[in-house]
Amino acid sequence: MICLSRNEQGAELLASYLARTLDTAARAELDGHFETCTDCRGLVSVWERLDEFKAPEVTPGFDARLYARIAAGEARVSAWRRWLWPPVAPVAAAVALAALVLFIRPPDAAKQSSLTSNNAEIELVAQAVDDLDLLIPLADTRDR
Amino acid sequence: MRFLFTIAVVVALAVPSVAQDNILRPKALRQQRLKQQKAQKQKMLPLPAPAVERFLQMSPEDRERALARLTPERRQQVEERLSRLEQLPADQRQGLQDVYPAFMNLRPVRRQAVRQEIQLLRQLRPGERRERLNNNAADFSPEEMEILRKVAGLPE
Amino acid sequence: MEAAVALERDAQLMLRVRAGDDTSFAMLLERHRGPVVHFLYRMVPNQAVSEELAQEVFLRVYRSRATYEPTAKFTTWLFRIATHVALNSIRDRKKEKGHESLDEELLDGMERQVADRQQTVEQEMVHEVKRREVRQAIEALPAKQRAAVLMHKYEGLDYSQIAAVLRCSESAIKSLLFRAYESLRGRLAHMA
Repeated sequence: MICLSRNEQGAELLASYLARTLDTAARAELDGHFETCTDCRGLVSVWERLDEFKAPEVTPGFDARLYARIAAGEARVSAWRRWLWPPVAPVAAAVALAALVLFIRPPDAAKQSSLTSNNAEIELVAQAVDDLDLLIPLADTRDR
Repeated sequence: MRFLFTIAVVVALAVPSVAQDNILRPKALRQQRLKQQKAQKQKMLPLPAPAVERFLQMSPEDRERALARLTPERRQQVEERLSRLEQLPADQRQGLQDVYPAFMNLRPVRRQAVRQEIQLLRQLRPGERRERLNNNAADFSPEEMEILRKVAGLPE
Repeated sequence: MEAAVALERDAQLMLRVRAGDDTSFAMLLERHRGPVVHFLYRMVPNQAVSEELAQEVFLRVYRSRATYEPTAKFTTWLFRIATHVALNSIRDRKKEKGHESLDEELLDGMERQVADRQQTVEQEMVHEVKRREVRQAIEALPAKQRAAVLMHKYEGLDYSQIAAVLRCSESAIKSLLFRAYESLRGRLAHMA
């Protein structure tokens, strides 16, 4: 086994090693090489060191800001169309209004009971409930 | 004797008025209890899933309409889990505040892998969980392992 | 099997968005918000900018719903948009006069946000130093190499997907990644 840097198949081998698609024998051969070759071992250890670069959590209000931008965009498009194509103005206005109703979600959700009885929405809630329940720290007893 | 008689009169007068207080003020007592419960609830950390918090703050009628969209079995399951979540003590709520955002930051396919692993860990005793996580560490990223260890209650 | 089902589901959700179901868009956002923001944060390490760019990505996803066709995996399409937005931003930021590529104070604050509360102060300081070094090493990569590394390491896209996102062959991607990891090895060699 020669160094990955000097191996024609180096890029391919490294890619397969990191993707865990090498067969057992090939993987074992590479592992053996890494024990003696600092350069090649360094390539693989980069992969682990990259774990240090963590990203912060998404700020609250991200979705609300996005929906407000979408609604504003829909309203702008509708206004433009109303100016250019008067016959479709009522339809465009209805679309803008529907978009505003659908998308504006004020941060104070307590005042909002606009979560419509929609299959997909309750699915979202149900999935979140499942995940929260799953993430409750396990007790000493077996599965509930 | 007179002394004892005085005591008896005082007690006789006091007992009905206390009883009367309890009879006259059940509404006040109930209101006070509700106020305390509300204050208690408000002090509690919200659940870290905005969709669930929004759902919990819906009116009973809206919640009923939404839940009616689920099959009866699924609805029962969701309601049981919601009830369990609402009754979580503060320290476990805080734990969820730590773990859930990190879980949601995973890619969907990795979330599924972590879900499956937690389901497996649930079947094991604490000692077995530690052994399994130590043996399977290579299959999970450090972020995923952190989530799994926190859920399994195991130190690093 | 589960992974394949999850990926198909995203394309199905997007087709529902195309058909006018906005709640399916909410579900896609729920599933991919975190990964997209994180990818963009690692491309342009500034939280405010990365979230702004992520909003741009999802806006484009929403606005192109009418013409969406599931010709590739949904995540491939999504990260193609995200990479395009990120590369434009990097190019624009380079043109700004006197632009500091890293807002150190802001980043310090961001890194503290990422801190694990359970670590000691010393452990946290060590991790902060390592985080900064890795971040700087990645930012030193040419933009395309950076994008490839981030998709490969953090977002788990396979080589064919990364190739589709960056519009080159799979073998070219493997070579690109090899060169990137060699550069990173050099910059991070001193780290224990």
